[in-house]
Amino acid sequence: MNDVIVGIDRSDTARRAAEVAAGLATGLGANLHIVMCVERTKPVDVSVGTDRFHSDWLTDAEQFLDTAAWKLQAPSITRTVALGDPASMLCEEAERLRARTIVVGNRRVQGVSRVLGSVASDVTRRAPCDVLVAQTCSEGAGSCDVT
Amino acid sequence: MNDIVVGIDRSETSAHAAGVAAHMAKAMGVNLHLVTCADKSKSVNIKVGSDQFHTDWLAEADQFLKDAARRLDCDQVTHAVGSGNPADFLCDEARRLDAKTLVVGNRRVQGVSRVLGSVAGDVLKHADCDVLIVNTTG
Repeated sequence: MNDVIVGIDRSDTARRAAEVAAGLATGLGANLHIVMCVERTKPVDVSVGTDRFHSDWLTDAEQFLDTAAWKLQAPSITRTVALGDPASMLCEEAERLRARTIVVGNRRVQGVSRVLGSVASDVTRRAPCDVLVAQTCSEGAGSCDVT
Repeated sequence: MNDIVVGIDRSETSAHAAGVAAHMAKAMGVNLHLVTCADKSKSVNIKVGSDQFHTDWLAEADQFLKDAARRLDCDQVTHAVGSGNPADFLCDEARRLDAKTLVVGNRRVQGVSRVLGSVAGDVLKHADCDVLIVNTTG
């Protein structure tokens, strides 16, 4: 009911947003719900000598979420793998859980910019709840002063 | 250093945003910094019988913030009055305090809209810290 929701992927901006979300959830004593949005891809089987590896989108995403949840500090963490457009999925999850806040990073995946990334701007327009836009520009590759 | 900064005026949307900001500041155990922008041109002298009252923009805005602070459920509140562009002043105050989060409402002053209010949009573009956009349309 008071969940803090954050969408993650393998980017730095998502990692920073997840840390901000975890901090907020801890402060509020709320559950942190991490969502990974993926595209359905074909499963792959790889053989290396006598070892066989199976990789598919769902297990990959679940594993990634497990690792992410393990690294984050929050009183309780739930997770979901979602198929589809990240902004829509985040807003849907927020509605389903009647969440308090969605956390997104402000940086475009393509690079440093003062303009919000598309997920962030879609979420700020459509979210049924509060949206925390985490500043993910100051870390790593330079500042955000490029306009 | 970990301050939460919120911009308020006399609108309902900003009162709602301030409530959310106060709740968050209390939960996180940090200072809440209330900011308002006033119109410098408003300065009035009033005479009632032999009494003279002088109100000016600064004193009035200061009083407004003090009243707002009293109504909020938050132990640690500071405030500042600015003039000029609200988004710029909010971002400047956040920078000065090295604040953690800036809080704004998502509603245009003109009415309910899915488009962000101009202050929220400008703050998102210029803030150096995290920005919480409170859903005040629902």
